[in-house]
Amino acid sequence: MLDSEKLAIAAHLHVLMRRKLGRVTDVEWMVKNREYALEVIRTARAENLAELTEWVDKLEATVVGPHPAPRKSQPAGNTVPGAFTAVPHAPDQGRDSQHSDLGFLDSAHGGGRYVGRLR
Amino acid sequence: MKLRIGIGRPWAAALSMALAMWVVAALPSHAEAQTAASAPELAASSTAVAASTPAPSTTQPSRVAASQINSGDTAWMITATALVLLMTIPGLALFYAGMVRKKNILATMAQVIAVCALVSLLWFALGYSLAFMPGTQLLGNTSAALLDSLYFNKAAAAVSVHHLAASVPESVFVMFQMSFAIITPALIVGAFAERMRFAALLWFMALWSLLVYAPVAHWVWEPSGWLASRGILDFAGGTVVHINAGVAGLVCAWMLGERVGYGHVPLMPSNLAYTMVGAALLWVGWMGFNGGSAAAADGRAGLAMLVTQLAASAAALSWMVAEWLLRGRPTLLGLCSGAVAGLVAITPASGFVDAKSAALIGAAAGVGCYWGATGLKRLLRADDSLDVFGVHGIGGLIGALLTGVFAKASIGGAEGSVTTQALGAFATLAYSAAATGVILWVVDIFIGLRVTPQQEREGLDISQHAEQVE
Repeated sequence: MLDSEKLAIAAHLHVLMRRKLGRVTDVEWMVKNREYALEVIRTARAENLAELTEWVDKLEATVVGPHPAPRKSQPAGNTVPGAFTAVPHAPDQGRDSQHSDLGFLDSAHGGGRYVGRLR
Repeated sequence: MKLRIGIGRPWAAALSMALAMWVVAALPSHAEAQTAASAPELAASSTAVAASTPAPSTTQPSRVAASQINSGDTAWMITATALVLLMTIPGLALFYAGMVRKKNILATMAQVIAVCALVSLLWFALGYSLAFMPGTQLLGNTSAALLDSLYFNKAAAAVSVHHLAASVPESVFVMFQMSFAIITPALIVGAFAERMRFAALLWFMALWSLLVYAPVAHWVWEPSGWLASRGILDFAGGTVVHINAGVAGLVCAWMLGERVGYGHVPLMPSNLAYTMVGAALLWVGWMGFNGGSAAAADGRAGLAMLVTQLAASAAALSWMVAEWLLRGRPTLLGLCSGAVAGLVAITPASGFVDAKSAALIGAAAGVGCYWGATGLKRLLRADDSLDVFGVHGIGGLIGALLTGVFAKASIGGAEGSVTTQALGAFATLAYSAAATGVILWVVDIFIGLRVTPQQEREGLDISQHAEQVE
């Protein structure tokens, strides 16, 4: 499958997750990094929404390949390190791992900006 | 498990609330006041003609000949009222909407406009009477419930006036004060942004408006109020509006708890351009807020407007400098916040201080509120989402205390007293905090304050209003 097609699937899932779950993902990283894609799939499946499942299946088939992602949600703290926050060049190492899968991080904003403070 | 009594639906909540208010307002009024209200009195009282015709000093609304109304004062008060209303809709709505996440923009705006409509009717039903009728030292009476004191008869050329603004029709005074009653609870919306149930918000705001705003306005502004009789200086509402709303916001933030992800992930403002437009509307509208509080189109109103501009400017720059020095960048949000901080701080002082003092008050407020929204916020450990306490609470306190320092008898007719100002500020702080806590507790029991975590993740636009910004 062409990279552009994989990117289109990832982008579609990104939009759905933003709308349905309020979570922001990194589309490019989803295509490039298998662990990150697995974590996105795990989180999306945990919501059990039909609309999401359709695109999760597509992502799983094209990006992840023959090794399926876990279908059940894992306990907090057992998530893939850096998942949802493993945006390239995003300096987010200081964040609490328990909350690292909440997924509000935008790759354009690193550091502690807007974390625990507005101003 | 929370006790539910089937009134969580917004329409049912609104209907029950309106009915309850109507019943309360229709109760027999205070006997003495009722007598006064039913005895038309064409008194030649107008401050505008005081030089030629000494006005009798009244302590309650009275009826005067229409010719005694000062058209200049009235025109300015009508304009000022429109400016203050503009501060809330759309000013405050835009100011807050820009700071919340995209999925909560519409909900935040809905909260502000709903508060505007709800408080307007409550003010008509009971709020005005409780706040601005003479009663006890703690609360007014019900003689003006449903605006029963209001009178206008074109054929008889007679109109009622309020004793605090004897040169304008009472209808204008009612409406001007209504715009203050609207913006005060609307300010609190910023403290619990992105997580409160809409039905709970309506109940909370209705109760808060009648049980907290109206009494505090009576204490400070109505001549029989216990703080007014002790000589507190609060020209346009530093204590009544800003300390009151700021502290209530802090209590709301504590009692509702933190937003999901707060302190761990960035909670991105949706569009700070909205915030800048909102801040600009607030700034312009504040000319009516402070200038209109003179209740006349005179030199004091002009001075109030001038010191308002100077304080806002000084605070915007002092916040900017503090942020630039400590964070390395002057932000747009900082400039907007600084301007609002200065406007808040000059509010109680605007009819009592000169231009030099205003610049000092503004400069102090910019730095003080910057600390309030950053350092103090960390100490308080409350998710006051949009820094209502940091800006309005701290700005109000700075303004109230510095009014005691800088007030000049030559401008406002009274010297300031820091002790009296502190008494008023901290009494308001204590009452507002306690009463807000009780109201929230009651609303939580019957309605439930917070949306579910899933609804919060989806955003209040979808979960509370079934709408969204694409």
